[in-house]
Amino acid sequence: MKSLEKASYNAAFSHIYVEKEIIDHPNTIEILSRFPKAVKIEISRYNEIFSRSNQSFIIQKKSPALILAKKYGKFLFEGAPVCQDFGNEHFYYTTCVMNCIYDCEYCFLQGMYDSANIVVFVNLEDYFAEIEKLLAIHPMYLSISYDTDLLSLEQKLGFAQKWCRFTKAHSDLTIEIRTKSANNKAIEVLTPSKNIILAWTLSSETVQEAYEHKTPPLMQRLSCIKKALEKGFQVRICFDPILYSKDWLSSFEEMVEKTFTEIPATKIHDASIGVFRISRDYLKRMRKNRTDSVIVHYPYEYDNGVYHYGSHLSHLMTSSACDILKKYIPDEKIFVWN
Amino acid sequence: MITIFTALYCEAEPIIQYFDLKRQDDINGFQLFSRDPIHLLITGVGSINAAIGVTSLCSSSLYAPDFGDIIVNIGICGTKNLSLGKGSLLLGKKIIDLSTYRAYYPDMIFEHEFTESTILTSPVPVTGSVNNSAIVHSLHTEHSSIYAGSTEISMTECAGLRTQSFIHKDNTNTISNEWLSDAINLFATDMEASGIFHAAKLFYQPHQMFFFKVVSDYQDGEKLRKQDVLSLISDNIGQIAKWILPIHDELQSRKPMVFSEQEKALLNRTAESLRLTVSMQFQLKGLLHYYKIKNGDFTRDLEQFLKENIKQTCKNKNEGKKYFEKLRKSFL
Ligand code: SF4
Repeated sequence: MKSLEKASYNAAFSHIYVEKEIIDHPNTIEILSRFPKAVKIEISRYNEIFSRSNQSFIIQKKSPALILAKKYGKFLFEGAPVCQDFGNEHFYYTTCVMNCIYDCEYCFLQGMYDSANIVVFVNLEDYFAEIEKLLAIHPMYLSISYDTDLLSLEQKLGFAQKWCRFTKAHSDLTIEIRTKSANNKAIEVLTPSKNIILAWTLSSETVQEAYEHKTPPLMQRLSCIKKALEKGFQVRICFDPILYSKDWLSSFEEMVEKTFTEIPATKIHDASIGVFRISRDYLKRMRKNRTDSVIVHYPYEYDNGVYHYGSHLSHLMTSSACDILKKYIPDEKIFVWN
Repeated sequence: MITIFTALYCEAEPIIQYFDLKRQDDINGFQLFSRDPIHLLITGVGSINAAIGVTSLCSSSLYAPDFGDIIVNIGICGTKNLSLGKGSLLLGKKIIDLSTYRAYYPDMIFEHEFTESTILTSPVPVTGSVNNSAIVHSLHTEHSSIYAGSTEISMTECAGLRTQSFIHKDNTNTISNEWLSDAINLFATDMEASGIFHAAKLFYQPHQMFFFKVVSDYQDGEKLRKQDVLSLISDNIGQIAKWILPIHDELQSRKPMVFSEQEKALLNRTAESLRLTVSMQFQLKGLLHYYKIKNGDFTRDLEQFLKENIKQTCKNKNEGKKYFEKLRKSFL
C-alpha cells in the first residue's frame, strides 16, 4: 500500500521542550519569545529526551527540536588532545549548547550524542561564575562554540552577544567562537574586542556541497568574514577538516585562492590546518547512523583510539595544504594539527 | 510495516474495514488482523495489556519491526477540555503514566494538522482532580458501563470514559509563560498509551511512534455505546491513514543500506579465498560497504578482482594479506 502524498518534516524547532526548573529564567523567556508558533512542552530534565537510547540522529536532524535546560556539574573542560590549542597554555572548552543546526556528514557530534535535538543551557550566569573563579588563578583561552555553531543560532539564542559582553569585561579571558555560518546580522550586533576570536571553518565548494548539508556556501562565508574584518574582529580561518578525495588538492588550492581574493590575508589573526581524524568510538556510532556516507565509511586506518587517513597520506595532505597556505599567510601564523 | 494497536474490538473494527484487514492466527491470545504492510492487534484494556500486546507482536519473528516501520496507537479518550468537540482527533506529544509518573515523548518530526495533546495514561478509569505540583492524584474506579448493543461492557474494559481534571501548578505559583497555561488544557486521558510506548521503545525509535486519540467524552460519566465508538474511529481513520501512509513510505525509503544475500555470499567467499582473519574480514566488509556507497555496486568489480588475482584459495594468511592490500588499494 503506497500513498500518493509525500510526508513533510516539521521545520526545525517546531517543538521546544523546556525544563520545569528554568521556565522562568530570563534567557528562557527571551528565547521562547522568538518562537511564538512553536509547541512548548514542559519536561523534568533534558536527558529524559536527549539521552534516550535508540534514537535516530539522522531523522531528528531533519527536524530538530530545541531543549531548554539548566546545566549542572562541570562547566569548563580542558582541551582534548585531538583539539588544537593555538599555543595557549590554559586551553578550555565549554558547552552551553549541544548540537548544531547544520548537518555535516563528518561531524563528530553524531558520534557523541544520542540525539540530534539541540540542547541549550540557559544558565549562562553559572558558566560566567566558574570562569571568574579560574581567571582568579590564571588567564584562560576558551572555545565556546565547540559542540555547536553558536553564531548560526544567534538570532534565536542571543548567546554570542552575552559571551562577548562578558569577555570584553575580562581581559584575561580570550574566547574563540567557531562557525561555518554566514550570519551577517550577528556580526552587526556583536562588538569586536582583541580577546574575541571569530573562527571560520572553510571547506572547498565540492566538500561543502556534498557533505556539509544546510551550511552556507564558501562565498557567503567569505563575505561574512569580510564584514567581520571590516568591523575589526580578530578572525581565524580553519581549514579543518580537510577531506581526502582524488582531486582534493586542486579543490583546496582553488578554495584558498578564492579565500584570499575575497579577504585580505594580512588581516587574518591566524589559520589552522587539519586533516580529518576521528575517535574510534565516535566513528563507530557515525557509521551506524549514516550507512550511506562515503566520508563516514571510508576505510580509515586506526591507531591509538583514532581513525585517520594513514600517516603517509595524512602527512602528505597536511604538508601540501601548508605549502599552499604559506603563499598567503606567514608560517608562524599557521597552526597545524599533526 | 505499519502496526496498529487498539484496546477494544469496537475501536479496531472501523480500521479493519478501512484497510480491509483479514484475521490471522492469534498471537499469544491477541487478535491480529493483517493486510501487508498493515497489521492490527487488539491488546485489551490497560497499559499492561497494551505492553504485553506490543511485546508479543514485535518479538515474533514475522512482525519484528525495523527502521522503516511505524507503530500507531489508536483509541478513544476522555478530556476535560470542552473546546475539543467530540470526535476531535488528538496526536500525543507527551504521555504521562499516572501509576509511575513517568513521561514518554514521541518525536514530533512530521508536519501535521492535528491537535497535539498530552495523554495521561491511567491504570484504571479515574475521577477527581490532580495537583501537578506534586502530581497528587486521586483515582477511584467507577463501575459505570458502556453499552455495546445489548452487551454491557464493564467500564474498566473500556478505554475512554475517564474522568479527571488536572491542575497544572500550585495556584500560588505564578506562571510567567503563557504557553504553560494554554498547554494545561490539552490533556486527554486513556488507559494504554504509556504501556504501548514503554514496550515499543524496545523495538522502535521515538520518531516511529504515533499516538492518536479521539475525544469520546468529557469525563462526566456519560455512557458510551459500542456504536458511538465505532463512528468516532470510523470518522477519523481516513485522516489518520492519509497521514501515516506517506510517513511509512518516507521511512521505508530511508532504511539503512544493508548487503543483499548475494553480496554477503560473495563477501564470505572472498574472505575464505584470502584466508582473512576475523579483524580483516571486518575491514573487508567496511571496504566493500564504502565501495558500494561510492559506486552503487561492488560485486562486478570484486568478481573481476578475484578472477584476475585469486586462482585458488591462498596458501596462508600472509599471502591472503598481500592480496587484501592489493584489493584495498584498487578499491580506494
Ligand atoms: S558546523 Fe560543525 S558542529 Fe555543526 S554540523 Fe558541521 S561540523 Fe558539526
